[in-house]
Amino acid sequence: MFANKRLGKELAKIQQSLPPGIDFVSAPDFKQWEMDIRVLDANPLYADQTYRLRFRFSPNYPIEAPEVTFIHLSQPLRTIPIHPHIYSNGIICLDLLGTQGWSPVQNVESVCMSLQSMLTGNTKNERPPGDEEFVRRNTQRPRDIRFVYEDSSV
Amino acid sequence: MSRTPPNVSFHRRSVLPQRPEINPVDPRALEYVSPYDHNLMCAICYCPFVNAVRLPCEHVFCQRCINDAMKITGIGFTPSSLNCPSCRRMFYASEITSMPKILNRMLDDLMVTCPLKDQGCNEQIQRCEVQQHVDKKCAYSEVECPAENCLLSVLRKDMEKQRCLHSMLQCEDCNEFFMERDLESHRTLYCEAGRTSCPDCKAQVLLCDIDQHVESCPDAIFPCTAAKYGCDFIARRLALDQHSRTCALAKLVPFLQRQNERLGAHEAALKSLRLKNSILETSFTSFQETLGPSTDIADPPSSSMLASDSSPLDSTARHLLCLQESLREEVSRVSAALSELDARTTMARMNESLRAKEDISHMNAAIVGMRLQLHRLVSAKKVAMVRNQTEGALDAGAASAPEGPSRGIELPIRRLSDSSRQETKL
Repeated sequence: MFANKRLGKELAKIQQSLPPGIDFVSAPDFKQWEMDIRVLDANPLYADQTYRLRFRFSPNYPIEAPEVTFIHLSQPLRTIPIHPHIYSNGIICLDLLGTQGWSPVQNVESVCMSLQSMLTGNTKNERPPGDEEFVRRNTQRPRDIRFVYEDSSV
Repeated sequence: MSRTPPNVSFHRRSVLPQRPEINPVDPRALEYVSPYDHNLMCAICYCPFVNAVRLPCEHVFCQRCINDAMKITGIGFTPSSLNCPSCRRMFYASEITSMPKILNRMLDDLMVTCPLKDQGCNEQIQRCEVQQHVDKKCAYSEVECPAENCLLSVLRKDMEKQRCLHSMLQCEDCNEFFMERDLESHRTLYCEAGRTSCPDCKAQVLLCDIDQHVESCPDAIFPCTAAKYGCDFIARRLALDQHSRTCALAKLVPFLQRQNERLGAHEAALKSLRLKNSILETSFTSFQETLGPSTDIADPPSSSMLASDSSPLDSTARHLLCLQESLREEVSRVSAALSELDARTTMARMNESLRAKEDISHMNAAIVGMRLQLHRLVSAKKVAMVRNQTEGALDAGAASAPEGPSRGIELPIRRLSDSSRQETKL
């Protein structure tokens, strides 16, 4: 497949320029990349915070969506943003990242921007319902979880 | 390049399961050498379109990209319908149309590096020829081992050794075992034990580092940097540095190099101009042919001007001009036909009006005849009335009352007979 070729081109572009609030962290190979995102406006929920995203690409990328999760780090400090669609283990429930919402014309940059705007538009200081139990019991990888997308407001 | 006798290989193939000889090249995984317009890049694979197809929403993708997308992201597992990856508008597989051939052909002409570049092939090929290159020509693609009962593969460039390169041999230096085909690359590139002495400074160096060493070895013997331009001084690196400070030719090297570059550029320009010129000449002669022998004395200046206007793409311009010429001929043919038609209709009209005129004159004659008749009748009646009056005056006393009406009836009867006579006359 051409996943590596395409990721190579995306990487070249990312290293040249990125939209404000999105930073490139590392891409040791074409399997797993890390990016940092910040919310730009003065949303009190996310003010002065930077969040780390981990992208995992399958060999079928971009036909298949990448697996995108927030990750927790202590040095530098990176937390999981609080949001009614983000579980506290970093798993994101967003149709864009599922089989149905994903489109092969999306790329790492556009996913970062979507997540950025998802955080920007949020006003609820809460986790998804059933967060604790989901976090405790879930052993699946995000791409194997069947999410039901019901809320179109955020 | 020689191979094992064909009958042998045929026999072997028929007995043993065939290995996948041809590895299909995915054009989307190639490295492009020539620059291309970024509008011609597929939004899925980020490569210049390969067999571009158009969706009803006018978005264009590679055929294989859209096929892949339909296979995996088809809604509800019905691959016959899908949303456009760009605008999410729904479409059916039957609505996909192909793009003009010229686009695919132009993109197929882009130069790419051989996909086996990592194995050592440095060739650059047109994209449409990559598969053929890998299958038939590339020295670094894997082919069947020429040995009869060996199932492994060798690089095509090793085929000419005509023997199996898969026997295990021991590296003289590190004592490890390698297949013969890999031994050479192991010794020159990877072996940690093989040592050789530098030909210049006699120091012991790792075999795999020898190239690097020679480049920096202070005792290595090199020719003067101006050797190309005629200086035949050869010395060790140190002495060479001193020499280059005094050598007049060495000082001229940058200048000479620039001159060479300019010369090369000029030659290239001349070549392209020559090509252009020849194209112009052929287009000019074709103009003359299309204009025909009658006009070619009068027209050359204008046609040559046209040809010089149509710069490098003059094959299309020529085509257009030919088209225009044929259209002009068509127009003249049509106008000739039109004038002929015009003449014919005038003739027909004239004939028709002549006949009408004749009719009118006939009628005129008839009317004159009738007038004459009428005149005669009127005068006859007058005569009769005059005679009646005179008779009445004569018989005023004797005539009875009922006789008057009977005479009055006689007149209409005569008039009737008169009118019937008139009809027969007509």
